[in-house]
Amino acid sequence: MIDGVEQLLYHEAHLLDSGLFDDWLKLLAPDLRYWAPVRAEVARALEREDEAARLPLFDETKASLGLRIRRLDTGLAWVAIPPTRTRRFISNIVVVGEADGLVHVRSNFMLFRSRSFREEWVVVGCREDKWFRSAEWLLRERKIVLDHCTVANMPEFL
Amino acid sequence: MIRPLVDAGDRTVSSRVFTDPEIFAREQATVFAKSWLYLGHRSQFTRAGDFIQTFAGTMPLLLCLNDDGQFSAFANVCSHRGGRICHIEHGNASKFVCPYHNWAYNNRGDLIAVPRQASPGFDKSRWNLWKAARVSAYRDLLFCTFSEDAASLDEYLGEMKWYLDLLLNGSRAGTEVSGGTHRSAVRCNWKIPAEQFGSDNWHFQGVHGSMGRLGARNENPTSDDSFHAWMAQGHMLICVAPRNEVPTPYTAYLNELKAKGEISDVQRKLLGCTIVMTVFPNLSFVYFPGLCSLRVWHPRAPGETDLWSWALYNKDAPDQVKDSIRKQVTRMFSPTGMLEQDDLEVWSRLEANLMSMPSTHRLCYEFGAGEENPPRPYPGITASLQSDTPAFAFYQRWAELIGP
Repeated sequence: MIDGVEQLLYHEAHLLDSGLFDDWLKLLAPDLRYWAPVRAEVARALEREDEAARLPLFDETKASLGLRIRRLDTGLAWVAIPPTRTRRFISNIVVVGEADGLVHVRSNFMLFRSRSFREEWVVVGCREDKWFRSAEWLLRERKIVLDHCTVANMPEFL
Repeated sequence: MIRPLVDAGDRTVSSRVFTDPEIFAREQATVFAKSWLYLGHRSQFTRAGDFIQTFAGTMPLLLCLNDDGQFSAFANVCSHRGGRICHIEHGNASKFVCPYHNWAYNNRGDLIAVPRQASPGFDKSRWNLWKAARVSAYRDLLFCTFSEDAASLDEYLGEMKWYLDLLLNGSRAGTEVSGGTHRSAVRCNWKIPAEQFGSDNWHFQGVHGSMGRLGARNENPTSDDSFHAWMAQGHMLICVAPRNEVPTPYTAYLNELKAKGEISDVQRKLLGCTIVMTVFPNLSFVYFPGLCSLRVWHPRAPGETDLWSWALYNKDAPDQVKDSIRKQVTRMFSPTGMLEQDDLEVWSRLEANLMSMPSTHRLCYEFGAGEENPPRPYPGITASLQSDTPAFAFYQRWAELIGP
């Protein structure tokens, strides 16, 4: 078992940046909720208030993430031909609390990506996770808050 | 001799149509100034004073619901020095005050107060905001035009209304769009996606081969109900019949609507198809049974477009159906969507390539030229799915408006 939340998140980042998506899938609980609200250009309180009611940017289960991985595996997904170079930096990791065997973790990420010789983007955001701690760590819930209102093509798992 | 940008002789379109800054500026002054432009959906407004921010072409715009139930649309651009008078994407307000020098406007766009001592003879009525000439609705869709002498919206939409009704009048309660907007930075000229969404079934097997491989394609392109349609106004549509309809909670819902007489037999049949359409110039819809996205391609620069899109469903559809449409739209047609991702990737390469070519470079729209088309029992001019004719008709309409 990975020792500590920090190492866990670094390990996960390594899997994603290395294209080891099937191994990443093994970190996900069968009843995973993985979602991202779209951002809105409104006051902070209002944005929080109707966050769950807005059309999301991601609304995934383990099965639907598995389908996304199988799509990449077809070798016909142009968005990943050839694979985008990604490197993610996970920081500001805070264990917010622990309840019912779930460890609540908040972390920031900065994802650098590059493709087609010279095209480069940086994607920034925050994640609020609930990890199930048993023999292995399993991600039960992840909410991703991107700091982008208009989003450039986003095939990456965050 | 200078060849026309859109040449009917050999059915080619100049690459400059997608890349040239001078053409982009002229397009704003002609195509966007003369057309009816989609601004918003009726369901985004609940009470007087509600407003949304949007764009009319490149122009930032506010669409406001007034006390008398009418809509006003005007530039979100202060008459004084050009300040942005409203900064939030939606809200409720009876007036807007520019942060630069506090010029204040009501929600019809009239200048109502200038805090500083005005010079003698200052006439406020000369400095109202830049207003749309007209705002009109077709069912729940709100449009404006900046042309005083434009034909009515009804006439402008013409035979496209029959197809719009499939998506907008499926139940008597009308439709609503999702709260929350998918906003996507599209790195190509706005016409590339507008064209594809009304006239390009062919790209699926190229661009979306991954989804085809996963079995997500259920099409019978040789069916009598698989066709292209277009109209002289530049609107165009793809309809593709399924090989066989897969029963889902959504198709059960359609059957219920038909049993209640809210949709006709023909409407029920076409709502079992894939329908993708563009209302000239930059409003598109993509519909699969169980998915509907309404989307606007906002031009930002010759090679930059902002896609704003929403899930669209019948207002009185069961929650399960609405939830499922929202999920499907998010998973297929959003910045994270499995279909959209590959479109966005291919379009961005295409734009970069067109930018790199000599100004004499031209693109081929030859397929379907001279094709004999059996008449079909559907409105508009129809053609086979492989035809470039609808796409070329879109550019011909564009060329008419932009002028020589």
